[in-house]
Amino acid sequence: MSKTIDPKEIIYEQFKDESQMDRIMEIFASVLSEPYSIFTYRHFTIDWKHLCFNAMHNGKIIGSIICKAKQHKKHFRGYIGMLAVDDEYRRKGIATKLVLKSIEAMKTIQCKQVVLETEIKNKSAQALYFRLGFVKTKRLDNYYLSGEGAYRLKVWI
Amino acid sequence: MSKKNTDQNQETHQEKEIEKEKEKEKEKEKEKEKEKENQKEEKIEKKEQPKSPFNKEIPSDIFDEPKENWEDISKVLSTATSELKIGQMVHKEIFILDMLMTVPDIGVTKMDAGVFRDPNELYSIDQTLGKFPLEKIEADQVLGVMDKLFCAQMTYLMGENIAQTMYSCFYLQYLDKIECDLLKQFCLISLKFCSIVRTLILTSSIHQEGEYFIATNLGYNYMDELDVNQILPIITRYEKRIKKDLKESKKKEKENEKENEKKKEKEKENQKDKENENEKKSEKEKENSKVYLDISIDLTKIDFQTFLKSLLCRIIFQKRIVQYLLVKKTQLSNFKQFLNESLMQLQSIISTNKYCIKNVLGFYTDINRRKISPPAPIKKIELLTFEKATELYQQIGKELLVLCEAPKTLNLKTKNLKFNRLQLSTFFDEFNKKSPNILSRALISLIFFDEDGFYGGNKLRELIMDNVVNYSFVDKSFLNEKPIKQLGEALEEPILKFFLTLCNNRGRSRRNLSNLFENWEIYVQHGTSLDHMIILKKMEKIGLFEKIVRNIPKSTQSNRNLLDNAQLKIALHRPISSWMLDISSEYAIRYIKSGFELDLFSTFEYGSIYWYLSYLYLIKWQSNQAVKTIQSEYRKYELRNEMKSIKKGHDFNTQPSSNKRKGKGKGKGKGKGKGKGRSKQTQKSKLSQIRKKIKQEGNLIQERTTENNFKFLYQLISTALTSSFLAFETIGAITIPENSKIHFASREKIFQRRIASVSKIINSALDYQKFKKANNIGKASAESFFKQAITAFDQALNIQKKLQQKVSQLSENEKLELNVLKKVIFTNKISLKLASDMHSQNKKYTIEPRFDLHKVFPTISVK
Repeated sequence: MSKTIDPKEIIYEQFKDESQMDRIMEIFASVLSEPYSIFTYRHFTIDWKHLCFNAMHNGKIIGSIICKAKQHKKHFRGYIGMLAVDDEYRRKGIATKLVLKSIEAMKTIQCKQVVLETEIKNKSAQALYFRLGFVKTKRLDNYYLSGEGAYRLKVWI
Repeated sequence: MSKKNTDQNQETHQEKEIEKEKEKEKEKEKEKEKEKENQKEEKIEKKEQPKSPFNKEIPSDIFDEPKENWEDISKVLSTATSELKIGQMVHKEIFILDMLMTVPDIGVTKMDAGVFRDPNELYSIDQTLGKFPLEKIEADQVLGVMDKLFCAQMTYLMGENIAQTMYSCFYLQYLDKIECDLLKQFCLISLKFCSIVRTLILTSSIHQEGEYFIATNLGYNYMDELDVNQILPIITRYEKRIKKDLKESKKKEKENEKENEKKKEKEKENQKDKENENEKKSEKEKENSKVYLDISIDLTKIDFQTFLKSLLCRIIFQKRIVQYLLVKKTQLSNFKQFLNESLMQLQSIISTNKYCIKNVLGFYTDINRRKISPPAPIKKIELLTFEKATELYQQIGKELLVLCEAPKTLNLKTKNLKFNRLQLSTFFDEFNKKSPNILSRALISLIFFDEDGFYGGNKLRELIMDNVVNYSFVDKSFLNEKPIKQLGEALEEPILKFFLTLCNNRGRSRRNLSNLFENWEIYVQHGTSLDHMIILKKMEKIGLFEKIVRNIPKSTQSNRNLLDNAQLKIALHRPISSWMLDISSEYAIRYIKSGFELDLFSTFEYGSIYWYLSYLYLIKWQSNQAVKTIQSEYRKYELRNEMKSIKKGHDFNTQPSSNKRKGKGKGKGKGKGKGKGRSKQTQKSKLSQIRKKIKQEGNLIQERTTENNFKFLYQLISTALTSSFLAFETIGAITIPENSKIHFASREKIFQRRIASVSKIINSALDYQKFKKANNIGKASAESFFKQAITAFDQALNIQKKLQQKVSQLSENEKLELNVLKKVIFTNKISLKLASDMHSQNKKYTIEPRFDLHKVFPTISVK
């Protein structure tokens, strides 16, 4: 069940340090179907700390976005690795705000595109990204360990 | 006892005690020395053991020998890590986080396939000895193992790894311990099948498809070093042996039957029923079991002949599936023969599967989970059931039979590259609709294509040059010029790659096309520059260059007249560019269509994408028509030249008709006489024939070929859909993300990016602004869009009817396509009329485009 809270109570902060890692991993493990090792989280948060954001409520992390960026052909390209919001805090635009935060941060480092993958069946995630201007550019079959396929979404910023 | 004696006794006793004490002391000293030595050793050991980098001491029992295979090191870890800061890691010098992303977390059930779920489960092959029979294997177990290995092979073809499929069989891991050599050879040949499949896939055009096939061995041996020509003769020997034994068994059975009949007669005479029955009983008891090739057969469960037949069909099946994969391309008849035999043997396997043991011993898919090498964490899998495995093989068999037949049905020996392209692309499109297995798709590229070109056909290089000739209307000798030849050679690879993309699955095919377009752009530019060279040569040849130069000072009107000149048309025709545009537009259309097939486009994009698609069809259709016109003009040009030469050749013979009647005369010309009249007749008839041909050429240009009609039909449907979606957008029935405040990319940007790769090869100036202008966006009303759409659908329906009238000339696929398109047109017309009416009544509604009927052109339902 979704909690009733005032959106102003949600604070969005850049990722701080490893002390937040347990909570972040807990949220992602409960939401995402694909398992990730701690090295995956560290890969993103150590080198691209400035692109990773948490949504906080009463000092507790309730949502997180993990991103990175690197050179791709002629441009610098941002990549959204993971996005998740605690079940109780869904449908409050938190995920959208986290994505906006990360894309704004990517713009400051001259990214021209942002990409991500999402499960073919995950219509709600796709709807979120479509509202922001993302479009499907590739279909990747058998992408996940479960055998499910994925769409590559992209936005030109 | 005397005092002396007692004293002496006391002394000896004391001495003994002293000695004992001394011995004890010695022992104590020895013990002390031992302790000292032990302490020294301990010290030495302690010195050799790594020092703790931390201040706290390491628990002392850490260096004791472990009692079990697994040791709880939680204490050690917590001690060692207590001084680390948050986020700090202990690692080697070379440490890259990026590479470690694929490493599984040990103990996490989602990632670590080796996590114990049940303490009774087997986790290592070493534990399996004794748990499955290696000697004196029962017949039902042997048959069960053979069928389970077949299931493992099919699971492997479904894209699972070798470690969890073939090597889930313990027999493969204990080959040397198997008593039954036949079973051993069977295991080897079944593994060899997988090895050959892997090689085929890696050498084919679809080798990149890791999502459908795991080619890595994950630390397990495919036995590539084992030559299949060593195993096949052994299998053949067993096959012959079993066949021979089966024959003999049948003979014996017949003989036994005869003997039994004779005995029965004797029994009646001698009245020895009881004795004979006893004899029979004892004989039966003797024949309850049998050992054959180290296999124990329980004859109460399966009779000997049935067992031999069961063995035989399985052996022959494995042999055949290996043989047809090894067949050379030029021996497709052998391929087909072996394939058919394998399908036949499969039926026998299915009918004898009931004799297999129910729970086959010696298989476990997770047995290797701790041994599988990285990078990917291995998920838990199950082998296909026997029913599903047989279904899969039968499906693959059908696909491969289609491939065998194709070189016969397709006329690849023609010199018409365009025709070949059309044939092959149609064939592959149909073939790929049913999502064929990766093995079938690997064999497409290996059967149909080789280094030179198409199977059984002409070399691709020759085909390319021939087609350029057809488009050029110049002397063939001109095409021997170096730059033209070089282009022909250079084009071989990209054109072959265009074909090979058809063998890939849809997603990868689209990605490959996009990559090919980047290179193709360079060839198009090169082709254009060569065209200029050809034009100059042609104009020189027909003396037009001088004409143009002379006419330059004159008005544009006269130049326009000059441009109507057929000769100029032919001369200015750009052969290489137009030929490459034909290919480019075909693959551009394919690329855009694949976007719909893969559901990559959003509804708000449909208007612009269908508009672009309609233009591509128009370009294709127009380029075909232009080439046809030029070809026709060229033929007319040649016919006119022929007429001229006929007329010139008989100029001296032109006399009034009176001369003809007389048959004599003092005319100007020579060669008079009776023959002259007849030569004039032949002249006239020739000239009239040529005039007829010229007229026919004109009619031919007007007629559209079936191919062009289809292109025109697609173009009209695309136009209709453009207007339809623009109408819905105008009304607000389609959500436009651009309208939201938080939107990053405009529709214009999205559209430009979508067509970016195609624009490189089509070289047209189509952009979003042109789309807006062409469709009067922002100005036109929804009503006008509805009207345009319905009109376009009506026009499409007319073309559909024209094609329907010539349905006998269409292929089966074309007929099906035509029927589907008819339904699409009708459904959409009705939906549009309904939507238009509802709009006029200010009623709100939503629309849902559905691609159930046709993958590219949706039916629109109005709700």
